[in-house]
Amino acid sequence: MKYYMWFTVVTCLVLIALIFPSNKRKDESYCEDFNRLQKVYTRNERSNLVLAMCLSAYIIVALYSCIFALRRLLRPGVSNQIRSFFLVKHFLYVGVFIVIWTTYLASAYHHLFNPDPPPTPKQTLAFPAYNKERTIKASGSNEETLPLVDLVSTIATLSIGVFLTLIRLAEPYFRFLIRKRWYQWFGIWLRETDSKNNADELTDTLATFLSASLNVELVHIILKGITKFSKVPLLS
Amino acid sequence: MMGSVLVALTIFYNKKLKVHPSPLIAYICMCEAISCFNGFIWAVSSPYVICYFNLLWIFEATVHWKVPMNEPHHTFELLCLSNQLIFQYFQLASLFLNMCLCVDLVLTL
Repeated sequence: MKYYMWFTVVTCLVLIALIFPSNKRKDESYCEDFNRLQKVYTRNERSNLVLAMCLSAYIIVALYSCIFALRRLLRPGVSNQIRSFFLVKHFLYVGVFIVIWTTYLASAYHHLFNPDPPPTPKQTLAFPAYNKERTIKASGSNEETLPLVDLVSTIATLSIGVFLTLIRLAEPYFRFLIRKRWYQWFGIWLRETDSKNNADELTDTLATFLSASLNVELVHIILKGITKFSKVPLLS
Repeated sequence: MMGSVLVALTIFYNKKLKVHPSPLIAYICMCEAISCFNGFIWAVSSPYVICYFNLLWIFEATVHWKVPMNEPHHTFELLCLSNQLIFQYFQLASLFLNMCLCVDLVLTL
């Protein structure tokens, strides 16, 4: 856990240090214009590149972990209920993250490789009539609005918390905790022992049940190994 | 933001949920909430938020170094830039923690 935190903190600092120089604004003349200033403080080329590379790496690692988990948990020894709960939770988590971040990736690629981007302020100053036409063509109207891909990616990024909460609610114990809190508002004290008869509700986290299942599997493998090798006839 | 904070708080305040790798998910939620807050400010328009809450004045009153009062646009730029950098930092942090979660799953299984 500690290593993950340090790895994340240091890597992100390095990446931000890489992005930072290109974030500095060069043109001083837009300070009074809010819309233009806002536009300048959107993601730039270098941050798009860093983000696109990190996202691609994440998608590869996430898909690998899904396939690995599927193959590992389909082996005998793990209970069906725990297996399905765990796989559904992990697949949902990875799937939703990949879908949401793919919109972001699309936006990054759109900015990096858009063949007909809106003109830069310098270009507009150089050829006003021609570049005004390009701005209208790029944005679809006279007003400077976000392109559709940016709009979708912004909405997706802002709504990630909702999806996280919903996926978290897929875990039975978490659902039980929320239900417990809700009942507490009405003075009803829900105990873990009350929900033990309900097959859909677990009274502990999935990780605990999974580790217990894996321990059972380990014991099973050890015993199978002992019985197999004890049957080998002695050569002497 | 509220959803992410709810998930993180539930994990931090429940003994059973503190089992690894749940804290990792809680940190991801916190990163998401922070980046979402900064993204929200950006979506509203960070220069507008700075002016509306008079953050220039608050910033100048709370920093140790001397801020040139005749050049407010430097502070203005600094605040806009810091919002953008915090947004990008926590977005990347969330992504990397997610990657760690997947790597941890592979290592654990």
